[in-house]
Amino acid sequence: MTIDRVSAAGTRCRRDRSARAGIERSRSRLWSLLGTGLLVLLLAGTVRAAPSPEGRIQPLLLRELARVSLHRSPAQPGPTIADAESPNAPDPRIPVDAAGRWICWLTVASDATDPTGALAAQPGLVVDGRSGPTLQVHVAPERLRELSEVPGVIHVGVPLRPVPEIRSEALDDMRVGEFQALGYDGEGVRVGIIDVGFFGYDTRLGGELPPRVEARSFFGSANGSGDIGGGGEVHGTACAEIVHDVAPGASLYLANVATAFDLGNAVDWMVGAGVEVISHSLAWFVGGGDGTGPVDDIVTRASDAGILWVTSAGNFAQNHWAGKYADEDEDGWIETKPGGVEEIQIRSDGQPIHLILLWDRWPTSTDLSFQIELYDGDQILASSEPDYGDYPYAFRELLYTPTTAPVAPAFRIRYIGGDPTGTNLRVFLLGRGSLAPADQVRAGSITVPADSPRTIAVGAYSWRSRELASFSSFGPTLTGLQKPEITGPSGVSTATYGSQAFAGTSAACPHVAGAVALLLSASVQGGIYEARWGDEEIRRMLREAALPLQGSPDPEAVGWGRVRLFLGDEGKSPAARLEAAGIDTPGRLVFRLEDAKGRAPGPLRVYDVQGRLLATVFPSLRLPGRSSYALESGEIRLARGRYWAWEPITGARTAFFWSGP
Amino acid sequence: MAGGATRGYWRRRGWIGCLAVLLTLAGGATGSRASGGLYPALGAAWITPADSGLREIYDPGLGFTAAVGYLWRDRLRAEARLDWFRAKGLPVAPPFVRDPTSRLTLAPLSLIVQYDLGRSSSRPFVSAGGTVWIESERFDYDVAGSRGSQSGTRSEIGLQAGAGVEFRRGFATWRLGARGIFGPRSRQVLRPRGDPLEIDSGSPPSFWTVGLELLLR
Repeated sequence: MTIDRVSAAGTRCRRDRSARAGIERSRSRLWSLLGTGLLVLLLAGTVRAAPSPEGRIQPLLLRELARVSLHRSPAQPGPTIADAESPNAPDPRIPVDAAGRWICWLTVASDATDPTGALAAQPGLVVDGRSGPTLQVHVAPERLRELSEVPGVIHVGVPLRPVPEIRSEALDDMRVGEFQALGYDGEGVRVGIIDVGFFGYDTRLGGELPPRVEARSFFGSANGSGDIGGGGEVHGTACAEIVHDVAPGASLYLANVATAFDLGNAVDWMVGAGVEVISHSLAWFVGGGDGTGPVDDIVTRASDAGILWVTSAGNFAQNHWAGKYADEDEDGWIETKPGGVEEIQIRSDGQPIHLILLWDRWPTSTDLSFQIELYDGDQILASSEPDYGDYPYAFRELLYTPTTAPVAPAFRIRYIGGDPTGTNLRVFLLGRGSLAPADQVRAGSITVPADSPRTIAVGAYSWRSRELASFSSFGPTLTGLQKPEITGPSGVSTATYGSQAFAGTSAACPHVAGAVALLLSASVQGGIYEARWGDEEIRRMLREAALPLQGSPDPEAVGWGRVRLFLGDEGKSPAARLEAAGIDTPGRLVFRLEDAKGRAPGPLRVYDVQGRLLATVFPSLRLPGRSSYALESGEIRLARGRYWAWEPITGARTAFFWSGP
Repeated sequence: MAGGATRGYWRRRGWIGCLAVLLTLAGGATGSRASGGLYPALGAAWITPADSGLREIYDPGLGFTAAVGYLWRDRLRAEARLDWFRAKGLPVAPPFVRDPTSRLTLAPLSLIVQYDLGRSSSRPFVSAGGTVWIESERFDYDVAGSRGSQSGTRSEIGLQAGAGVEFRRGFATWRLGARGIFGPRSRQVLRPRGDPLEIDSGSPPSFWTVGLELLLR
């Protein structure tokens, strides 16, 4: 035993010596490594201390400099900036002055001699001002490198600019924040926005719009290279802003169009790009009003390719007349109201009067014809006949710009020829003004393609009063289809139009399109597929979640109600309230549930923002109407971040942020 | 809900059929040449999803293998293999979805070359080849008070590589091997209407298998 012990002790000594030698070797290696590391840091510091002239210019500026140099034609000595579509236009994050100079921030070293003199010697350089080590200058792009080499200049970069925080006021009412707290913000979903113009969209990138969007103009261009501004039209830009407000993670595809053929080309591009939702805040007057016609055919094509088409219902409830052909007195003038009345009165305050007459004969109406005429008393002011004659489509347009305001403007419809039996006629008044209340036919004022069963048509309500907008068009369509499906908020704020200035079903539509994008991003994710919701499922979720409008609106006009995000707690009592109450002494996260109905609560479920169930917690205290839960955060190893909890019996839920015990 | 299938799946059905015919012919051929040339093999394998996207949802499970091989040199052979694996899982779903379930069916059809590293009765081998992944996933769920389902099937060319040992016990030759099967693509978006969309998230599907096979030689 003793020998064994000595032997064991000797072995221990050898082990200790060996261990000590090992430690020494390790220390030696450690010091070597530290020394080498310090040397590398020193060298790196030296390198950083003396950057090359290129290194003093922000990479974004360098990249844009190379790009615009590449596109510069010999005839143009410098880049011109005014046209955003020009290849010489720099990235929108670089502000440009009227002379085409880039506005940059110059940082000078604090210990350097004042560079003002050297800067003043730079040709064409304008200094706006100085704040500490930073100067704002206007510099021609080709002189940017020269500028960065001025002694004392340590950096040339893009100025920091304020981003206007303008969001639609209706987001809370739509429960957008609650839905996004579940971890779904539209990411992975491609939303197409079709409009007539997106003027100025590039100035909103990175602020009111995502930093990058795909934009093509089919405005008179089959290949998508037309004028994306649509002649200065900002309507599409405002719609895109709203989609981005609701679904900030969604990728946006913008396309502007002028005709139905352009629309077809735009939709083909979007189908190819994998767009899943289209927001279409436009009204067309081509088609029979019964879901047929060239635009409705395009909608069907998009729908067959898996696209959910959200469209505005139209703003014509007060500017619409409809009726069947009747001419009892056979005088060639159609009777528009019972009692043989042929005239429809217009309320106009001297503004141009723009009328569109349609009848249900598509695609052509060579054998049946009508015309529309505008009167002031007995005096004829204008007729569609001179402009249209034998136009082969069931469409007539009359545009009259008065020199003096007419006293009592009214229109009449004249029968020209063909078999008119059973023909449905409709007239829309565009622009300002309205039809006399007694002459308005509000039902059926839905526009194309809202008349298609494949679209989700959106009416408008005031986000402030939650009442239906009086102008909001509605069905039924000529086939008896009830439209719109839903209503969205109107009169909201955008950077494009300003405070609460974007009104109409045009504003309502992108709210719903954004909501659809959010719902789509909350898909079921498997191993190899993500299963997106189909058209029927999206409609069901919108219908379940929609809330009634205030006031007593025409039930035909409101569809399912006002749009709201589906969270699965619809129909549950709102009287239940769940909150994260704090952390108790053992370090558990305590939740408190209060239920006015006094129901026996079930277990609390805790999810991460990906929607994964992390824990099921049973009540630690159960009193009538009041319960609490204690979550052992250590057991499920909660990382710092956002989570949410849900109690299924009451439907109460809450989001919480876990920053650690 | 209507299921979706990629165009590639239908395009490749023709030559998948050809391989099926080859399997059938091989079955007949073994009757006359049981000791060499063509031979069939049957087995079972424990299949483990290897990539994180699949592992989060599906547990490992038992799969089955059928193969037809042709020994044309002493150590070299070619095999057409069909593996089959099915698993049920709990997909990641938003909280407003009730009772979501998913079912993955995987049937990699492979053409591999196997090289024996020895000549003894127990000899190690390595193998590698190309694979046509035929994979299908079905989802069932309740949303907004209604039961829904979606399914998709796709097929793509992938790779597989393996190693193991082949040994003779009694009348039969057995093969114990491990293989990795690597898919070519990551996750796709399945839509009730329209073609599936490619998305960047996730890594391509891959599996490890450890299996025992009986070679009828």
